Amino acid sequence: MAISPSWMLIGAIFLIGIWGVIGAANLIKKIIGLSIANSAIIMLFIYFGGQSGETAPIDAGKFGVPVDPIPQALMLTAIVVGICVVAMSLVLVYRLYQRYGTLDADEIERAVWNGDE
Amino acid sequence: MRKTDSLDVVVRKLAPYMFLFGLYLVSYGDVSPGGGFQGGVVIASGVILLAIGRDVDTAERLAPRNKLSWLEALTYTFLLIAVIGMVVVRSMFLLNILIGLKVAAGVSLISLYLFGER
Amino acid sequence: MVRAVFSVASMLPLAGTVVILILTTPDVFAGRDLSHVIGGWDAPVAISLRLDGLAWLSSALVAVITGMAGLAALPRKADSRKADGRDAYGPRFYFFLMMLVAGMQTVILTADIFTMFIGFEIISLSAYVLIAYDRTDKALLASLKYLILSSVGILFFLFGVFLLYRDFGTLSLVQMERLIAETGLDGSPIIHLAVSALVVGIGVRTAFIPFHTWLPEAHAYAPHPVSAVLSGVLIKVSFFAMVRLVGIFRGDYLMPLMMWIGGITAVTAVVWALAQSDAKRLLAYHSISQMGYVLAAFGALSVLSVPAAFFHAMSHAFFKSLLFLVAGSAIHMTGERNLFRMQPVGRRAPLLTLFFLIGAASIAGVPPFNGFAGKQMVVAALGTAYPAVPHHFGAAWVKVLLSVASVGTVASFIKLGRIVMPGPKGEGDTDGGPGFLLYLALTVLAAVCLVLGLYGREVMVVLTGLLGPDPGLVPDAAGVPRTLFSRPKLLEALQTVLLGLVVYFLVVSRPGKAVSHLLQRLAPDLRTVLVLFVLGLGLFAGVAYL
Repeated sequence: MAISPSWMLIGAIFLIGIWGVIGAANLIKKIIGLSIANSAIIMLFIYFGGQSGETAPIDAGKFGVPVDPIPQALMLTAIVVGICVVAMSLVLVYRLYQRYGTLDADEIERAVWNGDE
Repeated sequence: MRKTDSLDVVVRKLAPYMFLFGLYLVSYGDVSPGGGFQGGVVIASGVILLAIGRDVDTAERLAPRNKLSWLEALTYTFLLIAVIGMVVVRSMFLLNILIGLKVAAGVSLISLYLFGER
Repeated sequence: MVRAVFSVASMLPLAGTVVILILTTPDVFAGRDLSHVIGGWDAPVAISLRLDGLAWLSSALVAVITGMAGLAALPRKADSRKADGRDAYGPRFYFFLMMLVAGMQTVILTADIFTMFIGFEIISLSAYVLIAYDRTDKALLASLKYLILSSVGILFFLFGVFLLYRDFGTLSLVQMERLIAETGLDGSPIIHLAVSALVVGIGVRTAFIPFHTWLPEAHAYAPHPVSAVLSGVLIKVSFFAMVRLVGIFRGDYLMPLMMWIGGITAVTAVVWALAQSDAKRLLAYHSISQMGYVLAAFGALSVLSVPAAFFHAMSHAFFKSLLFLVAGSAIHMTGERNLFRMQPVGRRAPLLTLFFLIGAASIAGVPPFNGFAGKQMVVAALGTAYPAVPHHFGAAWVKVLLSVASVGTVASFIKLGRIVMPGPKGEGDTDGGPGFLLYLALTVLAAVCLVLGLYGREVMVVLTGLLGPDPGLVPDAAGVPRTLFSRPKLLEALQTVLLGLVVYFLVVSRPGKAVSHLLQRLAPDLRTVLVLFVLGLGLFAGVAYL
């Protein structure tokens, strides 16, 4: 399996997402990073799934060799799950924002742990 | 986002087409790409467009939160019944419509709640 | 009252699970795997379920532990509003708890790797909600940390699924097994990478080092019954999934690494646990430590590995949920989480003291409870590790690490014992004290702890039959110790306890307390957590190419 440019592109997008999760100070940016990384994995499935045929898997066989539909079905599920996770994380971040008035991860952590003892 | 007149007009004119497109995706789910979930999300994005482009109250006039809540719970129940009896009900069309309604209700509900917060 | 009825009604599916498990007992125990295809489609296309020994046992464990935790969470009549004005656990809580169970059963019963992914995500979503249920600041932050870490982990799991699908062309684990048997595809480096990715994804949820950082906060700041379920079954379910996957793909090259990670986890987590002053955080760190034992047994690659690992995981499920429920009850009664500042509840609730002692004795490895049996089994597995490799990849050293961890465990529980020492007698207040249902749940859990401990050997033989490499083989499995209560082992246990006493005095002394505070302040923040994650990832990927 050669390292084609598409692999590198998808890998780059994934790494950008992970970099965002680790490096961004703003919680919303972390969530956006997570979403970007999620999209990279989804792209991975769809792109390499799409290489097995020519056309969309509609009306099997009439318009040419249909693409393998399984990755597409899987990725739909993965997208759904991704949305739910992002929605949940936004709610959590919003509640924290309501309490502390800031979206900065370090500040919030300091404030939460200093409310202890 | 500054509310300008052009934004107002465009959003109001565009939203119904989004609902129509979403409905198309849902109903043609078994023969073309689309289906319950995708169509449902497109319908919900029509609601979201209204909520962002104008304000949440307009979107709420179209889809009040308590009614959405009921719709979602109802379709969820129907879905559960349909899934359990899946051996009997083999109609993908019906399942797609149910899923589409549920997803549309659910996603627009989430979005309306999130947008409604100050 | 009506809400309580709905809450109880929502737990009925657990009864359904138990019924099904009882009905399938004769088949499963004779070694026959049961499978079922959903929806009437044909086998490779549809979602298929598989009930074999591992699935049966895990399913039973999930049902029992969750049932007990749910029982303990039922609101008492006099307690309709919790002390700080928040609602007691109503039907909404039980909804999410049942969704959690549904997710876990999906992971356990499925024979299809993508359904496993879906099951994991259902588990995660329910867990995020349940951890943040009380809506305290710490709970919200803990849930968010878990969310971020867990989501990144599952992305790697998906990557592993992608690599597998690419090479095998199917998502069904049954098909993949057949393909491996026919063509021996599992030797290629790509598949190794895929398995590593899968393991990393699962590893985040099983919380071994370096993926453990989310656990102390998530388990400590969740509501008490939720902590019991999380520590009791959640981390085990992902471990069982890993057992299944590694078994199918013969990930033997990962085993030495896992054995060592298990040993290191066991010791490191105990050190941190000794430093904690929050009762539930202490218990949470011990969850990590005990999973280290399980992992070490699993990584030992001996005939006894999987049964021993399962035995200890099962024991841990029972005594950890027991301990979490007891600690939760004590916290509820005194309104204080810090065990140094908590007024001991020993006099107010003497029965609670008894349950605490049972739980503490179990986890410390004191005979005749199940912790003692479990640890013996783990040691036996390590003793027969890697028979083909002369140096056994250092299994003897891992045994040493585990012994050290045991000493630390004893010390920690002497430290935690403060919460049940005889203290001031309450003003005859029954409000907030444990109710009948809680005591019922605790009794069941404690009874199982005792039974597993006394009949450890018999249970182990059954487990070896169900989980060992030769399914259906029941008789005298090689390597299972003759008897658990032989004199050298009892002396060893005594030695551990005495050393633990010494360590305890060290820890609560002046310099000990200073070290404890230092360690507490070293709890990693979100960024460090993620960096550790990436390092762990690199480690596993690197091993794939060795």
